[in-house]
Amino acid sequence: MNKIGLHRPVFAPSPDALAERGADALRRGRFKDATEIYKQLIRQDPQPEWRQRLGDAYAGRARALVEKGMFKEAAIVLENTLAADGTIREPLLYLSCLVRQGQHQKARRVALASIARLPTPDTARLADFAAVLSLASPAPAAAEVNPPGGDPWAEQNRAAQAALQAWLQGSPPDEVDRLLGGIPLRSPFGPARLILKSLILPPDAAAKARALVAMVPGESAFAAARGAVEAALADDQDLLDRWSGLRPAQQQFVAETRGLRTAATALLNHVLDAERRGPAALFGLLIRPGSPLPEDGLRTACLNLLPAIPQRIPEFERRFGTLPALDRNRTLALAAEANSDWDSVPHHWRAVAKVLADENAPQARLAQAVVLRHLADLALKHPDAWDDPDVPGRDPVAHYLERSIAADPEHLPATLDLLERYRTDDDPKGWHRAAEDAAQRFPGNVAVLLHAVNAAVARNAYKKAVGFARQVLTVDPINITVRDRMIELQLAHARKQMRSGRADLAGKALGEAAEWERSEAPSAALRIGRTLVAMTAAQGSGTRDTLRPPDTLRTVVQDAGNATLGWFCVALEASMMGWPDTRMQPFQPELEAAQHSEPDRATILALVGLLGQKEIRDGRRVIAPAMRHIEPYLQKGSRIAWTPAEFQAIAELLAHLREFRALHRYASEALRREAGDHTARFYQILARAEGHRDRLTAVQESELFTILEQAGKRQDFHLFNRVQKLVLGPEAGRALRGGPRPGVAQGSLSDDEMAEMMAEVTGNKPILPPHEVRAMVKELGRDMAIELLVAEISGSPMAQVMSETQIMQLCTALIAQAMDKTPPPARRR
Amino acid sequence: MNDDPFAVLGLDEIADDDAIKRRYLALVRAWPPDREPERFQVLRRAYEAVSGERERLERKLLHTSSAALTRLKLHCLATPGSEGRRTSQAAPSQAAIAAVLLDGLQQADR
Repeated sequence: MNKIGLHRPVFAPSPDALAERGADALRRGRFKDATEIYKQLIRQDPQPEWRQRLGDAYAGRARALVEKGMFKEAAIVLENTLAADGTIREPLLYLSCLVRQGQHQKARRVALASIARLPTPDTARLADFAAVLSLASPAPAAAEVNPPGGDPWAEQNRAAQAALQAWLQGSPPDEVDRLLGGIPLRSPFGPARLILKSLILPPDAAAKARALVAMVPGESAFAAARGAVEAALADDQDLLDRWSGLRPAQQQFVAETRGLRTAATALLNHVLDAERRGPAALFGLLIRPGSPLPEDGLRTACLNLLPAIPQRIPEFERRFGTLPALDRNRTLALAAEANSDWDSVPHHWRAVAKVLADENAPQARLAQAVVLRHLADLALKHPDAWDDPDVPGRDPVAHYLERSIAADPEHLPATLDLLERYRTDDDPKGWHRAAEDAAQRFPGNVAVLLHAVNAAVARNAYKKAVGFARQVLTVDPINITVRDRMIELQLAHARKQMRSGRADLAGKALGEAAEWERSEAPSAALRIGRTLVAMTAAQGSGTRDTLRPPDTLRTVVQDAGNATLGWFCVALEASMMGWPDTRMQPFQPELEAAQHSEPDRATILALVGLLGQKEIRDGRRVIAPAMRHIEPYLQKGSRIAWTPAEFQAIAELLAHLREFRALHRYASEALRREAGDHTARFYQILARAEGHRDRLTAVQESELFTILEQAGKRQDFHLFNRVQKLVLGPEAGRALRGGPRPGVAQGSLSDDEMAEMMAEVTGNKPILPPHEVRAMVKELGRDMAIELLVAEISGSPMAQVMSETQIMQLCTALIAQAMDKTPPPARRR
Repeated sequence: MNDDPFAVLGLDEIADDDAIKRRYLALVRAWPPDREPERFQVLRRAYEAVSGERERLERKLLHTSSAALTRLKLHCLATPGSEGRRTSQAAPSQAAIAAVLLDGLQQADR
């Protein structure tokens, strides 16, 4: 709108056109133009409607000015709307402008004049403002005129003023309290009453004081006073937490109320400001000489800043003296960690550990153990970056954990970490030694004792394992898993005794095992074993058994429910106990019937579970007589349509037992069902080469490399691992982890891998159940859960065959899958 | 709220089990869990982080501590002569009252 054009009478538009343009300007927020248009209209014809619109334009213009911080100009614009009755448009806005200009008296008068003429809720807001203004900037007694609502306001104002003045002048709390009684809580001065009351309460009524002041509404104009009083009532720590959030006026109020020194609060503000600017700025402030702050506190605070600014160590030493070796190395180690300088980290932490070791005091030993555990942790988290000359050729994690346990033998988590480390590193000797030591230190800890059991089993020390299992059951008598394990261990021990010709000792072992049998879940294997031992003992003593043992054995098998499985179990036990074939002669009809029976899925899976037991699996030659009966039955089972997980478990077991003929049939049948099955093709090639890398033809090798590549692309880690072991040898994957892992035969899986597969046969479990993943995400958040999974998988055999990126992708996918609640795809083996 | 357990509990890094327990119980009495559940959780976490000797050593050796800095700040907020005891609130100046009230007006109209 051209202002000059508006004053040209020749081209002046009609009032209607002008009114339309004015309304349009108002709508578009062009308040300055709207003001000019409505002024012109009013000059032509002072209609009330146009006066109203002009008021709207002024108010709009004032709001725009306030947004730009032009309070004085906004107040002048709003004053154009002053009506004959003294009211003004947008009184709250006007009041705000006056307050910001420091015109408190005028603001108070405007507030009082406007209160009676406004509808709620603005009335209450104005009354709130007026009450604050009345207390902050009280009018001279003679100037107090026309109080709104007559006497009540004046009375409340007088009571509030009197109470405030009494408190300011140091009157006794009772006197102030009496005066506060004159202020109704529901009046605009009610917040003042709450605030003053909280301030006069004794220190031992702090909770009540805080409760009172908390009743002041947060949106009230008294809210800043409330915040200041809350800070004034707070304890020191709480006040410190609040201090940065206080505005200068509130800080001044708190300082005066608590009697704080101005210089001290100014210094605090400097410290807080320097802290916001970073460690270097804070260090620069604290290290200045002549500080009124305590010297020892300054030294410690500066020392704790040094890891973030190690380059300022010389400055620190000039001010506070030379750093002791422990502090210097700790500082440099923390600084190196922060900078991911993994060359320096172990060097400095080792230096810290050495200083602590030299101190040779109990607390120093504990501190040394803390540092050594940290070194172990760092070696675990950063294996690629770890190059420690102290532990050439050794697993640094186990090395540091061992040293930490030597310094602090009672630290259970480190002990368990070390045991787990040995277990996953396939170091049965170290595992067994560490577990025996740990079982002595922690005789009541089930986790330690279970390690001792398993470590003893790994070394075929079944008697020792039984002893540890017995210890577990002393601590936890209803542990079903251990009770079952106890039976297995006693069976294993009895087999050993039987092979040594000590049926008496075997019978004793199995008698003890029977104590752990649960009536609701009788162990067929134990009963068969006991019967075989009894038959051996009877034959050895030359007595005729009145119970006719062969009949007893048949009864036991019959009671087991599955005759086929039962007779195979008899054959296996007899082989494991070193029975000659001739002694099995009476049972040939039953064994042949089992061998020729129609195979079913449940029996074969149960057989796989049975043959998968470590002792049986490792005794391939010992069980050869039994396998002559079992193998034909297993071969027939190749026609069953196995799931990928079932097929993988069966195939792997057959490979382990070197039953390559059966394995070839399983693989061929699987390929007949699905020609492109890479897993089946791998096992077919493995069976043809009879597990020997050097028997592979060039074509087979080439095909295996293709299968390896495709398994990698599909993230089929088991197959990838398996093919890699055959093609490249078992050391290929291990090399990635940097350390020998004895005990794993070429072309076969480790105990863990076998155990995992056995678990999958029964449950077809995913890597981690979705509900556990979801719980983990809920507990830790998605990112942390991914990190945790990555850490777990990085410590598992899978890490041998996957890059860090692949592990991260896998974990991200696992989390996403679990959170989407979509079922996991079938895992191909 | 500071996440350094020594700072949260208002203790020196050299405090022993007894001192930590006493301080923790005093703080729990001042901030009971039924009335101040969030604050209690913070106190509880801080207490658990330093309530054993090994945990304290781990905290002292493997982390930087802001407890000393917090003590310096608290030193600035100490009321002269109070020696850490709570005293009755002194009346501020009329100007301080007016300033905080008027500050409230400016905040309230935003």
